[in-house]
Amino acid sequence: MRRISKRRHGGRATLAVGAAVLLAAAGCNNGDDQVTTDGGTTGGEGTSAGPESTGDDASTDADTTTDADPTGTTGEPVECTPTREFFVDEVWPMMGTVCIQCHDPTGVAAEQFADFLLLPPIYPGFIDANIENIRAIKGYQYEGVPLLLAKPTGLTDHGGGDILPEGSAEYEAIVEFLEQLEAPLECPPPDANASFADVELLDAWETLRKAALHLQGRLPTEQEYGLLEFGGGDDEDLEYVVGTLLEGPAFEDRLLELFNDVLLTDQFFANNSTNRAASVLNNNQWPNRTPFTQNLLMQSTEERRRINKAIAREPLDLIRYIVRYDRPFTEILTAEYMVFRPDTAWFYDVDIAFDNPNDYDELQPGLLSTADMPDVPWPHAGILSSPMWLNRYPTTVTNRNRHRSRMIYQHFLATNVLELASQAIDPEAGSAIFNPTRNNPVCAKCHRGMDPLAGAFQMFSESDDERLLPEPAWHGEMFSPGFGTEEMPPTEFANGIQWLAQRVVEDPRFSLSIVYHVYKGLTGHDALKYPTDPGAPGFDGLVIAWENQDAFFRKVASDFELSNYNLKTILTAIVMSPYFRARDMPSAPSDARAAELTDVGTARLSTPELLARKIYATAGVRWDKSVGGDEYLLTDYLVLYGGMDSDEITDRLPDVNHIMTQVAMRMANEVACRATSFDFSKPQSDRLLFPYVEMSDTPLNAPGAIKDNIQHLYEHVLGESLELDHPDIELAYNLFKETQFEGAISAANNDPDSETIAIISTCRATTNPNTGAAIPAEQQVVDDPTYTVRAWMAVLTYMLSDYRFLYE
Amino acid sequence: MDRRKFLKIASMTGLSVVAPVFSRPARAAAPYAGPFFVMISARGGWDPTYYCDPKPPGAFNNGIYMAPKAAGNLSFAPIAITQAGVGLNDPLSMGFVMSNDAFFSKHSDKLLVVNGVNMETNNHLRGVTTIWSGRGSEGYPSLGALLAAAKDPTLPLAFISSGGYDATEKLVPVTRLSSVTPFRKIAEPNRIVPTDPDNLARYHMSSTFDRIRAAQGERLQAQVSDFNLPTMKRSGSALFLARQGDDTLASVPLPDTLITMPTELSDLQRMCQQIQFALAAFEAGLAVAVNLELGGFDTHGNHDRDQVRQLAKLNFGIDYLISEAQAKGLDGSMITMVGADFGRGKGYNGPNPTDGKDHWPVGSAMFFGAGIAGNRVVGGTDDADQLPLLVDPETLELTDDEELGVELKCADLHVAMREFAAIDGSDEAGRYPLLANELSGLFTG
Repeated sequence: MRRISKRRHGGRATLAVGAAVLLAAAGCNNGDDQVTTDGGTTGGEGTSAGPESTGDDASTDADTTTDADPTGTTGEPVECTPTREFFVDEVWPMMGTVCIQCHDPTGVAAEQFADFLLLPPIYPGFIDANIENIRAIKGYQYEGVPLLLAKPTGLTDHGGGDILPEGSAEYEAIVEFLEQLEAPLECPPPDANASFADVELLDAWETLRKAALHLQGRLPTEQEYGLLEFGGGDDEDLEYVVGTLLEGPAFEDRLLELFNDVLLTDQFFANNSTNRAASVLNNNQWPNRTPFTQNLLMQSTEERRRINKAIAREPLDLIRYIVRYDRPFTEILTAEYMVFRPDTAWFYDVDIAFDNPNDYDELQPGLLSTADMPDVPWPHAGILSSPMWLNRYPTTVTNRNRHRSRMIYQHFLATNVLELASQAIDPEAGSAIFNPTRNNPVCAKCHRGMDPLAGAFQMFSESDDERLLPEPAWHGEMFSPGFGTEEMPPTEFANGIQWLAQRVVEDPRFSLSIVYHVYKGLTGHDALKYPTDPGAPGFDGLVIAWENQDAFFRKVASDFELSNYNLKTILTAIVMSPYFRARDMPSAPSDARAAELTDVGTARLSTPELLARKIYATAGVRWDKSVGGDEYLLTDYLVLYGGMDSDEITDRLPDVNHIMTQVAMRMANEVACRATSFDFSKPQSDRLLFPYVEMSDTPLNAPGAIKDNIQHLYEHVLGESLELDHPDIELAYNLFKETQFEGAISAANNDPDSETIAIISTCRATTNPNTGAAIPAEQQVVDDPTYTVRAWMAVLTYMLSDYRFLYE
Repeated sequence: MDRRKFLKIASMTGLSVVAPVFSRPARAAAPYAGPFFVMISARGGWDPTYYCDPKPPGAFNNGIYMAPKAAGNLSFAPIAITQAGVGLNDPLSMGFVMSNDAFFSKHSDKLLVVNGVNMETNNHLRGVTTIWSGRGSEGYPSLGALLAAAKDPTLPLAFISSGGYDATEKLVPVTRLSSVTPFRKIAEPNRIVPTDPDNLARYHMSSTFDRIRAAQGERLQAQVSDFNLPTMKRSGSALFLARQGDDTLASVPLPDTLITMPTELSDLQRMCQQIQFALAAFEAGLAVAVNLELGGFDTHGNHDRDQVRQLAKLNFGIDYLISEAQAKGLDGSMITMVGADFGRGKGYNGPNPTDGKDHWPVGSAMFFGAGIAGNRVVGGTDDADQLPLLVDPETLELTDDEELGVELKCADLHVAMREFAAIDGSDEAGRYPLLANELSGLFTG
């Protein structure tokens, strides 16, 4: 049960203000006090009362608390339904389907400067923005009736007609909502777990295993498990241990993988290119470019790949640097520096002191400059001024940086500008309009928001992406440079992206966008979109699913801000949440409840990268093409297994297909082939996979040891703790037993087509598959007279292709 | 347990509510014999006035062609192709581009051109959604996915996509294909060197491999039966279904090598390689539909160079598809649709030769293949404003009668294609209704 309170949470309030700014940014707020909802003026006619309060009236947004009795006046528990939730459940269904047809920022009412505007669901925070907007106009009345009711009921002129019968449920909902706005009910943020009371979560140990595989690409250490054991495995302990996973090279690599899924700048070293990143840069600015790309320096292929990768990963290295040193994540846009490695410092000719210039992984901040215009400072603005980002999202003389503007919205403001074009257009309507991007409402729908951000890049050439210009130059016929309602002062044009970056990170959608990215990286799911089709099956459940997730995201975003934008706050919160930990339910849910649980759970198909790391973590060998060489899942099978190359394929397949199951089967065979004999070549105490058996153990002489080892494999490979009498132990045991029996007989037959004592050469253990070093002769596994090695290969193949191995 | 039994159990557990994938019919035993469907997207928005909806000399082109030319009943823009004119550097590249003249002269008898389609948008996202799903809002499957789902979603490669709008609404999984050797290795996962026909060595005895799969299947069925969380149930079920047909990929007759082209034609090379994969999958009877894509049509700048080059590549790609399909004997059972986000225009966005053309909410589409009556043009745009002309839905002739005539829209094309492909009565099509004009005999003439 939630506590009744009027206290407004900082994050939520900020969100509303920020989104309200966007409303005005759409050009829909004429800034005067006249009230129109359809273009007709009523405010000046003497029939309307002025506003009782403005949208920023402290009296309605005050930090006051109503100490309402949480148990109600009778002492009985009462349900707290906050005003926000009441709006979502009772008011928005009508406003979001009927009113919004004219009152969205690009609708008929907006074109006539109506103050009553509704943001559609493509805007993050649209609920709060709409509530704020209604709060701002709730005082407007016609003959004592709020205009919000007087207009749609036909009491006064309304361009949309009489659409709301007085006394209808929708009418009464608006009445109550307006009353509630006088003293909004707010409740403490719901416990994320409360909405999932009927959902079983991974326990602390299971969560730690999943988190370690996700964030470090390894299994938890004994020490980490010990920390949980010591504290009893409560959430506080778990959160602490999860926090320790958020550092180190493996974690940083995983982090970069996650953010490359957003930025896609790894395109520049796709296919192990030796010069693709460098070749897109301008030689006049950085004269080392041409000697490098033409290899006039006679560098080795390996060295050129390393340097090219360092150049390509420069924007991601900024993220690595920020997270490594717990700097505010807002610096991904506001950093007035660039992060260099020794290779990139050389390439860009930047004088930086490295602690160890031979450590190619060392990161140091520095300032970029150009050789041909050394007096023009590089307008550092984190990723926005990154030469790689500027090339990954190029522009042209006619595109005029709009592409970059769209990507800023998409990457850092959680808004897909293209979805603004939500209505069909008439070709004839705009065929004769001069300067259509500004003057044709159909075009201006997107350009009004997009073009001002584009204007921030006016220090960069439109024909050579990262080429700095001596002075800013822009296009007067476009919407003026700016952000939201704020126009950029001309004095800031030279530093436009710095000016813009500061405003983007202050917008509450920035925090939400980062939460969305991390959520997708860890769960594989996009943030849910607000369901807009009331006729869709399970609509009510989908709305609840969205509400739960939205509340969770807003809480995480708020905590992120309170932590001074420490990214690890988000990572930890998502790992601890049911979205990462839900493992099952005790019974099948109803259809309605099933809809509410959309995208909740542990059933994420591992990406090729996650699976590759898991193979090594569990089997102790890599699935690579040669010792220490490229891994199959990151090269030959990357696309087939649903992965992306950041170049031609830029999204991941979320659902398994037949090809992917075949890749998994091949992987299981090849890895089991390498890992089984190799593990047996080690002393028993050093083995990862077979610590309970020897090669001589057969079902005839050691059935107990075999079952013990199968139990170990379920635990080690799949993370399942099964009792020895579990049917799945018996299933694997029978697989072992029948394979061993059949194989041993076949090998004994010595027929041309029969099995042999010797293991096929590919699967023998004569060299260490991870290092290539020869295994001492006495430890080599070449022969398998009892056929147990190959029987274990069969069991391991079965494990490595199991659902629990392929999904997390 | 076979798939049919599994589906029955899944249905009994209410699985279809959370997992539409389980509403699939049981898989047919025989390979799928067609019809096969190919969707080709000219991504970015092509210029029909430079292609299949040519205009007289005027503001719509900088004199790059003087007058429309006819090929049979079709009219096209006769734009000459030169290496310098289309900005290609490698002389070898000229062997992989095809002029409009060559293309339409060779294939006009097969082509149904639909001009003057009101796309109702000039927004890329809405454009590709409209042309490939029939409506502008998200939430409907792409035509390829819908056809695959309605025809046979249980095929191992039912819907192959190499990009473009490939939303499936979980009716059918998307499959991506890339290179030959890895494909052969996964087609026979138990053979150590499947690329060497003489090397029959295996990781496991065949009986052992069968035993592994049996154990694998038994455990997965139990897991899925025990799962209650919708996401777990859905993903486990999807894995079960995806595993069916384990030994069928080896029957895909892949070429030993894939077509290669100069580096500057990497986009066309990829398209043609995907054609090779698609046709091999069709030939094996394992796929229903494929999405192909060629980008680079968003020519806001350098229109007369870049748009012409991309159209010349597109011509080559379509010609390659037709000739390869003919060589495999698939042309009699294959249906192809070519379309784009929208058109371009009207006219240029500036006075210079390097200027471009912006988005224009009127486009065209092309169809050819089994049962489609070619050498026909339906619809059109006016020469003055490049706006849609009305079409009599009964005769498909242009008309000035505003009461009788209709403006062609993508929904009309999709509804006609659903009917032509005989999926209009399917559950899948019924789930995604479209409001459309009925165009009598659009494809059959």
